[in-house]
Amino acid sequence: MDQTLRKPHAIELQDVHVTLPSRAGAVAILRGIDLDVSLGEAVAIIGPSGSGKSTLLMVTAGLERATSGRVTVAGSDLGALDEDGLARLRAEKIGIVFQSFHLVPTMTAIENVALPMEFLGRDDALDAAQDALEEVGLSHRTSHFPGQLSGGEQQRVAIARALSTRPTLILADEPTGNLDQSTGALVMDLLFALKERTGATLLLITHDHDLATRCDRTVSVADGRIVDDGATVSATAS
Amino acid sequence: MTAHTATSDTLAASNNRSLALSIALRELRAGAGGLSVFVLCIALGVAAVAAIGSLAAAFDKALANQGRLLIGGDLSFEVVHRQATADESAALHDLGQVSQSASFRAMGRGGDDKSALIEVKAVDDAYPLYGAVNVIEPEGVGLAWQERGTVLVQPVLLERLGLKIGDSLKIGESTVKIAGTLGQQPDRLADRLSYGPKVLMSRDTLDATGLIQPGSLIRWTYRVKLPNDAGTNRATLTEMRKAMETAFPQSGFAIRDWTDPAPSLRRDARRFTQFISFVGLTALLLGGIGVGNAIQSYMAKKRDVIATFKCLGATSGLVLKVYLIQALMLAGVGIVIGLVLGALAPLAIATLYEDALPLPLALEPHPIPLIVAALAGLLTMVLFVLWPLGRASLISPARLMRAGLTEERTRAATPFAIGSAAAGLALFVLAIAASEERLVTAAISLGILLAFGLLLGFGLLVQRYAARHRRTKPPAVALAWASIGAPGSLARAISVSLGLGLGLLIAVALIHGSLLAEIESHVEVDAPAYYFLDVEPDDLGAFEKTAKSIEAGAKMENAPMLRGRIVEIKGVPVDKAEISPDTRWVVSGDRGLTYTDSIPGASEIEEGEWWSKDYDGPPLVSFDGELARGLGLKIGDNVTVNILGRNVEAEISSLRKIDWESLAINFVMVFSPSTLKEA
Repeated sequence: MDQTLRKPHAIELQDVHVTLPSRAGAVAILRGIDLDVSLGEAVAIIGPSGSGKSTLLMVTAGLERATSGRVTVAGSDLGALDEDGLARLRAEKIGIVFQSFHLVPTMTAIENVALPMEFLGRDDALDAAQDALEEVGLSHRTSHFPGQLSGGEQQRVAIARALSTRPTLILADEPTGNLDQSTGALVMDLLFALKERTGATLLLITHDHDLATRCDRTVSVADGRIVDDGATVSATAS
Repeated sequence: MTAHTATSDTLAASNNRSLALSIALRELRAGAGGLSVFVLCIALGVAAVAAIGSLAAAFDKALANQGRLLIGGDLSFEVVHRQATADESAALHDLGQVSQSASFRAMGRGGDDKSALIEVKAVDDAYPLYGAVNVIEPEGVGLAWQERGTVLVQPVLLERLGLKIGDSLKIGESTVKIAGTLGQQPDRLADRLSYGPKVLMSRDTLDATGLIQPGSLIRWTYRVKLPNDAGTNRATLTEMRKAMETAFPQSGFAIRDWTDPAPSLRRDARRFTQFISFVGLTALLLGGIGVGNAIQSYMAKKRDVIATFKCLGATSGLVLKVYLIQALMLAGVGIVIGLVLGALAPLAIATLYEDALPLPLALEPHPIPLIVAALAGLLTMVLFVLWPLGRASLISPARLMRAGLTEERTRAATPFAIGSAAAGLALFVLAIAASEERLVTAAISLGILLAFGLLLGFGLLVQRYAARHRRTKPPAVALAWASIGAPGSLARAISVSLGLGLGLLIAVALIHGSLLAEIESHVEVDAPAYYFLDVEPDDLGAFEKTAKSIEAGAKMENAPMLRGRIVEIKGVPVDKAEISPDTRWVVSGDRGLTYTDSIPGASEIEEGEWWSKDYDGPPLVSFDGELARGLGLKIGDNVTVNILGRNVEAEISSLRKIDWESLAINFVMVFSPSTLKEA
């Protein structure tokens, strides 16, 4: 294949298998995933519960090791990195948005947003966090603790935190799952707007087909395999 | 610089201590939630160790500070039954200024025939060489005790006999006037255990009582104040002691100097400290278990936060630093509280028990015990905290998305377990190093370690049994078993903490109960109701007659008693002889001894033979078997005892097993009658 004509990939999964031990015996969760996501592309992963969507995201974030196969994110082979190397990669290149927000309850909004930048050793972490909160419309809530914020506000803080380091890749695990419909829509508008502004790649896990259609491509997963890599949807969309 | 290197440097910087400290402070800002138990456990444990150490140091320092006041001179020479000979007296006066005193027990009688046992102390005009006699009342009475026929008495004697200042008191054949009440005196500690209120008088007054008879149980003490501060030089003191011992090898003097004024008291205090230190150490370890439980519970709540940190790019090392800093800060607070409480302990004891203390404690802070307590607190914290913190730092960030499975996939925390074990080892090494009786300390440490292991194993067995039998009825029991058998259950921690705590309580209760039972079981049957000392042989018949007139059925036993001091063992001076530490007390002072032609009651011959009733040969002695072994003596060996100023060398003809608990009259050494009858 002519490499020069191909758009560089943010994510490359090659024949990825994940098998986890359990008391009842080994459970195969991913069974040979092949997936390429180009830089700047927005890809939705859909599928029924237990199909392996979250594991796919975890493997991509380096939170879970592939049992076999190759995982490359932002040019780094995750199999070659140790735990600390993976942590560093996440700090530099990956922003994660969770369904349950996962803000640190003992820290204020601005401190939560500054955290990944502080892990990178940035001296201007708090100033940059202030800017990031302004971007999500929460400049007036900087000194509030997560417990003092609504669900929608918490998720906006989480988005500001995920994007504060200007990551190459944004991983979002059902980000509207804990929000009502209108708040969820506002949050997603914000996420897509910021993604466009930063040029980041987005891998979005969702049960919501309408939300999936806002992405460049939708990948369907079932029983640990990709059953539709979204090429058709993508073509239709384009 | 390449981009990669720059990134690495930046990331390395992210893990620096200031970031860890900053995050630790943010975490603590919201409250340490549940970690107040952590602080409390460390504080109590450290307070216990610091208080015990400070008290011991305060006592030691007080002994050292007040050495001259406690023995009443730079040097003290003590002998029982006899006064110093002219040569001895001259040699003592050559050393410096000498003050002589005589101490003994007598009966004091009031006006209406009330009587009480008193401790008479008769002193010369040079007394006291150091310090001053405190007269409670009346004020301005001056040196009243120096006047002939005038005494000072402790206030309690006035209460017992219903007397007041100015009244008369009959002692022996003399009637004396009570000039005032006696407070603290400089050399009171050297006067041994008191059996009654003290009466201070002059030598002239004593002579008038007629109580000085040959062989009377009178302790004659000669205190010496060296000229020109020569006594400040310890080498000089040792030199003088040796010179006197060499010049008068048969004197039987018990010599002490101000640098170690009360060796037996110091020894007893150290033994007590040794025991109580282990109560403190066990308390600290129990506190440590509380600390471990508190930190585990705290870290359980922090799992998601730690996983979040890692998802955002924190390394395990940074996470460990954050929580280790928190633990150190909280331990620091606990240690400071504990040290303050411990350092104040001597002051509290001195305030609450001023009257019961043998001497005023040295109340200044004592850094060594405080440092030991702080180190012990720190090591206890590391022992119980490092492993749970290490495990927590290795939590997989994947738990944010799949909590159920990540529990089983936490990476091995072996280095942290090794670190905890090293801290535990260091704690025991510290305990042993800070102890006087290191072998005992090591044995107790090993015992605690074994108990710890056994209880941990028991907890593990209970946990496994519960896990295996969780499917049972009724449901409440099944739930309980499931909870006990679940991973992360507190079964092991509770087993160890409850087991050690109860073990400590039971040990103390058993020691207490055992001592009481030992005393009670013998007291009921055999123990005498009264002991009478110093009854002259000529008065024995009258004494028995009087006793029978009061209690016709009274059972009486008597034995002649002298006091003597072992000076040589198998021809070797006692200070050069090899003596087991448990037995050293036998040669450290004078001992009661007797002579008889028959085996004393409550004892039996375990080796050798008793002399015949008409034995009239060279001196023989029967020795307590256990103590003889401690002194390295066996049948046929010779022991030299100084009695009434002359050395008596006797051959050991038998060893006895003595039932001391019977409280019957018995002696370590019993001589053949011909040896001592004339003494």
